[in-house]
Amino acid sequence: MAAILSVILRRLLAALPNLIGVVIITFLLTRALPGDPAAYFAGAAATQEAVEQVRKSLGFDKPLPEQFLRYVSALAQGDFGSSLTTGQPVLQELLTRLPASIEMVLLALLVACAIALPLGVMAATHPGSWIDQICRVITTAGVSLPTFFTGLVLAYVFYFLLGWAPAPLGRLDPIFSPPPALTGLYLIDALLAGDLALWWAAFKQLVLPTLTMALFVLAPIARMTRASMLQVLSSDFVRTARASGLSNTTVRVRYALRNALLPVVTTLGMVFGFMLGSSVIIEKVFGWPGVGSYAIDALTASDYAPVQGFVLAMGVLFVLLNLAVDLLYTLIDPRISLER
Amino acid sequence: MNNTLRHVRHVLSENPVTMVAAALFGLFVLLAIFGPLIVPYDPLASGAAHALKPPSAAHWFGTDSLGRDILSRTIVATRLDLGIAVAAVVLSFGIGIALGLAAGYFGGGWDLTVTRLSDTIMAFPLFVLAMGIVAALGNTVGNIVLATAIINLPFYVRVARAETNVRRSAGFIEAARLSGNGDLRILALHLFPNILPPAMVQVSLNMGWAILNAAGLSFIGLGVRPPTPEWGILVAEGAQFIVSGEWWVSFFPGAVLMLAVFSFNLLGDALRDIFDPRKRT
Amino acid sequence: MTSVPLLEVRDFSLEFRTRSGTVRAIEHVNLRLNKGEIVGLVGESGSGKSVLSYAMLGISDSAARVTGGSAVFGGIDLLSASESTLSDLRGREISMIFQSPRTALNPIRPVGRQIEDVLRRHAIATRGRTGPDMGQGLRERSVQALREVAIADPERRWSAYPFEMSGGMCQRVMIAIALACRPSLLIADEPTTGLDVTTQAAVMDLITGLARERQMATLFITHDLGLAAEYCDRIVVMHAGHAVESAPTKALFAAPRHPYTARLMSSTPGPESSLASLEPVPGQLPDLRRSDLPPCRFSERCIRASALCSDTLPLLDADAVHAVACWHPMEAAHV
Repeated sequence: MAAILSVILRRLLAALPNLIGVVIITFLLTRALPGDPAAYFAGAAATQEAVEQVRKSLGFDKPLPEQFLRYVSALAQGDFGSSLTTGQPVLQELLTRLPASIEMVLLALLVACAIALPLGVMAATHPGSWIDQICRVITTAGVSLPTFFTGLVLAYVFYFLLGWAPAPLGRLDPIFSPPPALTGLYLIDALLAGDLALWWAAFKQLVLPTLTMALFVLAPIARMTRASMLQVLSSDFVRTARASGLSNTTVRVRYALRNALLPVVTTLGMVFGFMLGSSVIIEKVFGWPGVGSYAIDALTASDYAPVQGFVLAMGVLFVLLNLAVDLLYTLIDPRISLER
Repeated sequence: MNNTLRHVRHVLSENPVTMVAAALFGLFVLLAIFGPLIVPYDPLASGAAHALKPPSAAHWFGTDSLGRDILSRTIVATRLDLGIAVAAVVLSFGIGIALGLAAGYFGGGWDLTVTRLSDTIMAFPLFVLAMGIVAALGNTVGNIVLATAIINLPFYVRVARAETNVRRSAGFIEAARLSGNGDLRILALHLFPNILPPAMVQVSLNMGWAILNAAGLSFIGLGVRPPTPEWGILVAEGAQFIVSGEWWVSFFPGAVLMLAVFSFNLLGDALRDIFDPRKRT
Repeated sequence: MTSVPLLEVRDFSLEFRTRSGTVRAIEHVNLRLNKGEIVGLVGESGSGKSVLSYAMLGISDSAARVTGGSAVFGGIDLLSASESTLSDLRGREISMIFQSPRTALNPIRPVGRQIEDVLRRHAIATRGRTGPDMGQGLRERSVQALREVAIADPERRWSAYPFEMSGGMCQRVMIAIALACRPSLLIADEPTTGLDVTTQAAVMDLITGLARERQMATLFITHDLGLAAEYCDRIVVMHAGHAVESAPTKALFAAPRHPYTARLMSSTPGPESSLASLEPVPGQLPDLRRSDLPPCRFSERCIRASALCSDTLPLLDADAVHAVACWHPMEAAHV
């Protein structure tokens, strides 16, 4: 037990430098604005006095290291600045909009895994078959797909041509009101509230954006699964298992698959990075009210605090997600959890 | 040299798809260089009379909301997109390889700093970081190039550092030093040429990624501004018309973009097969 | 008086289809294994020893094609049997252990469980018994299997992972897995390669001890003549896909009859050899993809070769006690 705890602790400590790095880089980005940063934060209509005031209150007149300390302590108190356009604190707005992004990302991951894992496994167990060919096409073509293009094509086909999907206008059709917010994830909250009509409405809106993102990450997951499975299937211990007469299913699932999935889990970290990045674009295409579109709207309005808050939040989220994946891997691979 | 050529021909002929990719790659390069000279219409010429016309004999890709010919705009955009990607990759390559070589060769403090820098960059979802950099430095094409270059740095750093480390632990560097070579000589004449093959594979794989990045940033309004034709912007201009059925405005630029990225990626795979068949998946 | 052999391989041929040509890996091999016999299958790397054993179990590479012959075991021809028949036999009647024991075990599964998997597989097949009491029985039997291969503290070791064990212990575990269902034939493919000398001896003692005790036939594949000499009742020498000589160990070493066997022996160091006295086997193994291979594949580097050797294939007489596949064998030992 102590061994596992010490391994977990070590992983947590290893993530710390990355967190620090994220904060430092975000800080540098806030100070990298060309021209006078105080003028940006004061707004285009500010007078000279107002700009000076902002400069003093935000500490732009102090030396850089001191600015950094002020920045960090502000962050620690939850002060990410305020949006010029909405006047609201950035952190609050980010937190309000985060569940929308997370719901889409999580669902997309589930869908992608549900398709890519079996695809990769079958491509490996039936090399040269049509499944294998499909897998290869997906893997090669998948990484070339521009998300905005796929999203628009899907919207055109399924909404305009076929009428199966609703208009890409956000999380819910305006005639519905959101469920009582327990998790912020409409699918779960609607279920908890027992409102099936609402659940279905939320689900319909989720389909296209989720599908777009899932298509994007299918490729790396399928590729890794196939490669890993191929390697494991030709390994010594699988040969021993077959030589002992174990059934095909046992060999493939209990011996091959479990071992093959381990490297796939480590791929998930990288996959999350792709998803968080592409979520920005998908939110724009589908009018999804998540953190990505929040940042884009702020950018267009030259409102910088939200953008910086967004970059920081994404960086922190990504580090934490990687940590979670790391910890998951640690727990499922006995060779690591038993490290002495 | 003959052996390499034979191997190249073997790989190219073995997979017809690779030949297609190479041909497409060539086509895009030609379009980038000669595009503006061969377009049927002025990409900036607008005319409300023929706005939003579907593909026809006169306008193969149709026209957009300002009556501009989409084919011409798509072709002209090739130069900008490829140019951005090439500039970004060259910058990434140059700085990344140099840093990686230094990290692997000198070790110690160099290694620590470079690795930390690389890790910190990779701690962000890369597209988000690019957004942040462009937002911070200013909304210009130059900054798009810079941002794309920065987020691609870690790949080159990693390749250079790994290859150098392999050679260092194999005693290669030690041996070169003992024969009297100075640091710079070793780096330039001995290590760099050996790093080139895997680095080149990285370059071609990266080019596709860089194009996607640049187009993505333009799509959300960063960097290139309308009316300059650029694939991402062209798709963005047509996005609002998708829901009313005018599909061609976004479709053709997007499809061409996809084709470009696809051919670069295929080429990258072929290069990888040529230089290191062990890494084939 | 001859009893029915446990395994009778007749005229067995196998080839591999590869990109660079067809490799005729095994040709017209005759081999016989009697119950309780420990036979050493000896030869250089590439002689086809492992390929032959994989074919017996039906776990050959997918590029392999059996082109002729039969391998009869308990009335079943292993070479033409269905996958389900073979699957029932594997681990239960015929078992195999491999070299590099640590990589040959599932790295993320406790070793005791790996033994249980085999027990469960074959217990279900033969007795059709499932249920809660089976779990307990499996656990006890697997612990017992560990005990039988002289692993100390088997209850605790049951839940250990291969990476926590030494190479020798991993090999013992593999032996436990192979012998758990009391097979009548064990194929041991270079089980001691990669182990240090002391562990080698311990593992070989264990295998041969269990073999004698259970009257289990053992086909011991090795390139190490010395090891074969020490532990085998009979030795079959293979060269380039052919079985060239088969004889009781003592007889083989006293008077080898095939020229290749003789050269093999003089290139193997013994306690009295000096560097000067060792002579390598001249030339190299022939390229088995060639279409112009002479029938006797040793003839090109044999000093006793004649036109006959390039014309007709000499075959091993499976019934003879000391059999040799050669047109010009060396002098037989005089009794």
